[in-house]
Amino acid sequence: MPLGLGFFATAGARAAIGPSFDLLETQVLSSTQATITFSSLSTYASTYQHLQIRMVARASRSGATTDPLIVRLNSTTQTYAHHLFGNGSSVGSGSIATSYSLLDAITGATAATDAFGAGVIDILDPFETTKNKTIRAFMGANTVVSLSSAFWNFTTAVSSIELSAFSATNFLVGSRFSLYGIKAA
Amino acid sequence: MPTNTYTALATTTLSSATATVTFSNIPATYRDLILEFNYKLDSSATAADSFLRFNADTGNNYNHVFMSGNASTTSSASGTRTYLETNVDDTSVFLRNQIQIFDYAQTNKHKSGLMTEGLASFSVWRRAFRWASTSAITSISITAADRLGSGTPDNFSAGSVFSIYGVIA
Repeated sequence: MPLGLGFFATAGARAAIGPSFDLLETQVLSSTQATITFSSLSTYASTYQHLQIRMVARASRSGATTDPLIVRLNSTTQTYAHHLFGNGSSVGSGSIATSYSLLDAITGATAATDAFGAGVIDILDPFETTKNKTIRAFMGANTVVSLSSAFWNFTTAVSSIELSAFSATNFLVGSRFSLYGIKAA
Repeated sequence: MPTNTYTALATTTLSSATATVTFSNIPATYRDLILEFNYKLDSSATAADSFLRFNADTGNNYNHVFMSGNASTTSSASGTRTYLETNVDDTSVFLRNQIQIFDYAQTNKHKSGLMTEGLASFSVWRRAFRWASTSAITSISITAADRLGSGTPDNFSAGSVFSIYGVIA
């Protein structure tokens, strides 16, 4: 039974009106793959206010239990990100200003067998052309849990989202990436 | 074609103090599960907590890492336990927790999750966890406890609400 008075699971907030959280696309890997791309997003612009990616992922990065996740919008540069993370012993923060947003973390090759990192990534107002775009993420893998906030310095509508592993290795079989649209009231 | 995705599966609202709430016979129809708790214990406790178990598994299979902060300090720790710890208040304040479980019915991976918690009186928490089992999750129990299973059992207060949602992918 669809949820009438809806909640939706964002990285931090919740609550929306009506059945307003829709599955748009899912990619489940049956073979390794370096990059996940959600393209032609402009087809969703008239219906949805926000986008959300829910994912579990594992990369083939050798010698590491975790691997940061790269997010690129429209394959372009000028993204700035900040992180707050716990690593099992202390809480830290950091920033990055480069050609992509870096989010912590998914699992790497030396994590426990069958262990995958989990994440929820919100892209806020992706189709608004009067504002820059904000990404927020809540992720965890192995002994890392993190919150990230990224700023994409363009007012252009988002037409594609690319996800890849920071180590430039592959996502492994079983990794799953689902894209959802969230309607405005 | 977009598909409406977020479905309420069950809600339990306690009419009297209760030690354990269990969601059983969880269908494998969905990809993710989201639990929403609005709860507190019914008595003062020396170390209020609650804990989850999946499929009644009491093995040392629950890995977690958290970060927390209060008005002055931050903290992070990780470990492996026989339960998945969640925060709960022992005061008059009902605490809201959200627990997301990913790919809960997939049998080719351990079950990963994210938890948003807070103790209204003094701290905010985020936690990631992994249940080291490839079994599909078919039941989830939430138990009140002081000192997590090694101390005095407790009850969730009347008025506490436990909800479970399924997310399609």
